[in-house]
Amino acid sequence: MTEARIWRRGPQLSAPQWQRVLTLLLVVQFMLMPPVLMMLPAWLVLIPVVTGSWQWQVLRGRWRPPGRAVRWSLVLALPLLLVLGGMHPGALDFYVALAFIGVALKLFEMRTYRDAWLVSLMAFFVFATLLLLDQGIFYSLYVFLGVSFCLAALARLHAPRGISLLGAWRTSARAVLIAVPFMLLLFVAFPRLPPIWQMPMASEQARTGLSDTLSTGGIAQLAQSNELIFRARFDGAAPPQSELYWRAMTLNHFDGTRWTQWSGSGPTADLLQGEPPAPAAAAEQWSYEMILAPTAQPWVATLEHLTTYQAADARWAVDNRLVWRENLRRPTGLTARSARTVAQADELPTGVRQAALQMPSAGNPQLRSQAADWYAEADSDLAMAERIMDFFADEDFRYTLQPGTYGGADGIDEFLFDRRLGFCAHYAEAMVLMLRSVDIPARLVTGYMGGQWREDGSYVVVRAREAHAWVETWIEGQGWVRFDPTGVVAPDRLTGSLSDALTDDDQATASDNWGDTTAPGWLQRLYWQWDSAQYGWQRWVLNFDADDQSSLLEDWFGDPAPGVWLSWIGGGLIFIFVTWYGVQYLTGRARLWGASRLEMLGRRHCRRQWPELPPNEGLTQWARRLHNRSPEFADQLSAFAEAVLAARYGPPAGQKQQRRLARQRLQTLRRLRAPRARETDEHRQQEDQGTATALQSSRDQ
Amino acid sequence: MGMLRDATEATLERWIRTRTPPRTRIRLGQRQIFIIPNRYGMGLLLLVLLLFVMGTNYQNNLVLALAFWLVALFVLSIHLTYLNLSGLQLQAGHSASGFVGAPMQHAVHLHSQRPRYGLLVSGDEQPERWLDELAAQEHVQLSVQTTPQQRGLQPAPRLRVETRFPFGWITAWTYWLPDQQGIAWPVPVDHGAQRTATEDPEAQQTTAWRNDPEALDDVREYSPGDPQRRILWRHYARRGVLAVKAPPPAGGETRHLDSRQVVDLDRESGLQQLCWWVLECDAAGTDWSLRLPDYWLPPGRGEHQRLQGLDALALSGSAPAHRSGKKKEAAT
Repeated sequence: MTEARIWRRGPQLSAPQWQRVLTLLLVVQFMLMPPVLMMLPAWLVLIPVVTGSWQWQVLRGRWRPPGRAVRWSLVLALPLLLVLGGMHPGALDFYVALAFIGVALKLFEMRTYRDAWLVSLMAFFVFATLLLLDQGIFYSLYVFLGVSFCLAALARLHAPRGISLLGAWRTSARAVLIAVPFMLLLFVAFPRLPPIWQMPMASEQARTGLSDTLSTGGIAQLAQSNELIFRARFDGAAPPQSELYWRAMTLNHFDGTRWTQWSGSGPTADLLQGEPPAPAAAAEQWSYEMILAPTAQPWVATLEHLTTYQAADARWAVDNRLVWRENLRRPTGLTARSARTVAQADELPTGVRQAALQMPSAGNPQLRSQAADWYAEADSDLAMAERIMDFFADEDFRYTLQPGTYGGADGIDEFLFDRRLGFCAHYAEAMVLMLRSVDIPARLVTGYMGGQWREDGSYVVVRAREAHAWVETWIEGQGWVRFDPTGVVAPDRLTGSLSDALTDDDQATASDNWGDTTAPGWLQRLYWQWDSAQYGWQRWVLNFDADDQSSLLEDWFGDPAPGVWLSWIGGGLIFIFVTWYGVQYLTGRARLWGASRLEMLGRRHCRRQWPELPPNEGLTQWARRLHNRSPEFADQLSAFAEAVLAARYGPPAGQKQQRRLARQRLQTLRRLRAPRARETDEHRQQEDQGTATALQSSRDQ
Repeated sequence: MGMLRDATEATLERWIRTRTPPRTRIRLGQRQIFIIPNRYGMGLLLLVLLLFVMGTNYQNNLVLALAFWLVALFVLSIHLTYLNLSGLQLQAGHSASGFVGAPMQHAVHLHSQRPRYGLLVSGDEQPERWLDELAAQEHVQLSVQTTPQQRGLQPAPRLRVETRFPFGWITAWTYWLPDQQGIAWPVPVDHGAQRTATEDPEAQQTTAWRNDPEALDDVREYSPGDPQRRILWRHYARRGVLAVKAPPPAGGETRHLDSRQVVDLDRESGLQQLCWWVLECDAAGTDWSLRLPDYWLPPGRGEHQRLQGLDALALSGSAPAHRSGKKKEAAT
């Protein structure tokens, strides 16, 4: 028998505990490696590889376990290495890496029960922190599996020899699955709190999305990315495809080659204030719900003419858009409402007007003179804008993603009057500059256009490839008016998908996605099923917030008062437990009907009279044992046993009669008592015949 | 402070004792099982709190879900740990007799309908014993050891059966006082007392009994300790009763041991001296009888006689135990 003393004297692990727990914990550590490899600097994985192989050599008796000096220098050196490797000690991933190293080192020096327990806790922690970096469905399932393995290791720690690997895993898996409904209950019902304090964020990760600078001349070929930007679901009717202008930001400052948001470094505090405009009277409105992908950028694209929004971290900017307080790092929900038209301010604020009129002092002379000519002919600002649109429509402009570069300070002249190849940003930028050159406030707007609808029309997916740029110009009396010169050059771009608007050459460069109409049908269906699973995951799991919680509870219970639903939950739990124990009790009793119940009663009587009767023997054996001590009792008992056996296993025809007989004999038996006085004494004598006791325990099946 | 703690512990101990009276047989249930989260469980809850704060601060639902899940597992493990003990059957077994100061073995039995894992059996001043697995329907005999310090009935020590299976966050345990006693015989010491040949007034009676024609001279019922080769198998085959052939009467005289022979010594030393003589007689193979103030053992020899004599010496002066000895005589 093992003398494994786990928690009282000497906390050392016994040999089987150590080996078997170590194996499982090494598996857990191994499971931590792939996500770390993907999300953190890859060299971190080398640490458990080195310590693991060292441990392997120790297990085989080739190397010695690490000394105190080695362990301490590792503990001190590795965090230093992290900092030297470029991780910021204030960033989240630094701590994740630290916990990961902690698991490796603690496992390396694991000798005691406490060590094993600590490794399990640290592994839980690493899994949890990695969830901050990746919240996909697959990774979440992976964490589920990893935690189950960790629990299996714990189960093995507590029964080192008794439980097989499979058995331990089964034990933990059963517990894990039973715990799931309780987790869901807590998940739905436990109040969501606002952040308690600010936490360090992960270091910047490059993601695609809209940039806040634009330099159209330098782009020879526009890369097409399928990166998800957001999904949107409309409550009720959706606007037509050609009206799906998702507005993300305005670019106001142009230095001759490059557009930036403002003349300074970025939006200043006074630009982030105010409220969205009210919808115009009798204007059509659309309410929708968006799940924003983590783009690591603070700006989000919303449908043009946003009127209301619900998101705690969003701020309204003066150029009519939403800006997030932080970069988006996890899928985020946003509920909003947009109108076809909004009530416009009468006056343009001075700062905004100045920004919308800014222009480099020199460059593109042809553009300036052409604009001046048209402006002289036009009788209003609006007519001027329409004249420019006509120009794009009438002349031989071609929409392409591979326009080549337009270099130098006069690049836009080259585009407008020479090559006439370009994508949305080229047209928008040229139009803005023409308007500005004649003192009409105008700005470049970037965002997304359209999107890909799910077949059943339940939601629209917008990807990076749907990026678009258009123009807004300030018309006195009407406010900001949208013009989209791309629309007149390539009308397909507005009504259909992007691929419709492209030439064959462009088609080749545009990357496909499986949801496209070009893919085979089954692949499209599979793709959209997966996409909608992801949508559901992001909408109902990752973005299940306090609002969802209260509306869900309201749906279920009608009354959102916390006292009411708390008592519902409490009552539900009590109900579950009462039912559980009721069923346990009843099934325990139910097994004891008929002859089995008679046998149980008979056995109980015998055990009361003769407590020393071994519980694992049958009635007949008992009768034989009692033969010497109380022949009368023994005779009656064997008669009873005979009747019970016949009632249970005899021919079915006679069972009922035998049961009656057994009941009568039980009555007789119950009247008999063991001779009290002799009981203990005989017991002792009986025991004397037993084998001599030894220090080892003996087992018999 | 220390006094308060002592008082609390004493009260707790008293309460536990009232809840766990000596039992011959016990099936563990709610009344017997104590269960409480241990410090490792507290550590887990601390981690859960950390995860909850982390999930709240990052507004990350998955981290919150993990925290909730661990809480659910923690609560569930209370149930699982309890289930690992509940229904376990403990049964008192045989306690071997022995001399004062020598280790005494008490056998106890564990039986289970369901498989159980990781049971730790310990007792007051007992080495811990680790039962990794108890299979379904398995019957395990454990032997616990005490060292009696004085003669008389030596109860088996209180046992503690503990488990932390499956996850180690919760400790469930039970105390069990097996209702079984061994008999601690006095140590045989030769104090040098002189044995005077006192006439045994009851010896005559014995002879009368021996001469009873009903009682076969050399055949008596089997009693534990009789050598196997003396069993009359033919008799057993005919009547179904084990009988042995009594040893032939010793050629020498019957030695009558009597507490009056040791009046010079104090009570305990006297018993030690008598014990010495009993062993001496037994070794010599002569018939001997024993007289104590409230007990008489008729002449005889052999293992059974020796055990009876030693038991009588051990229990001498303790009234209830002695009654038991009397009955033994009557039964034989």
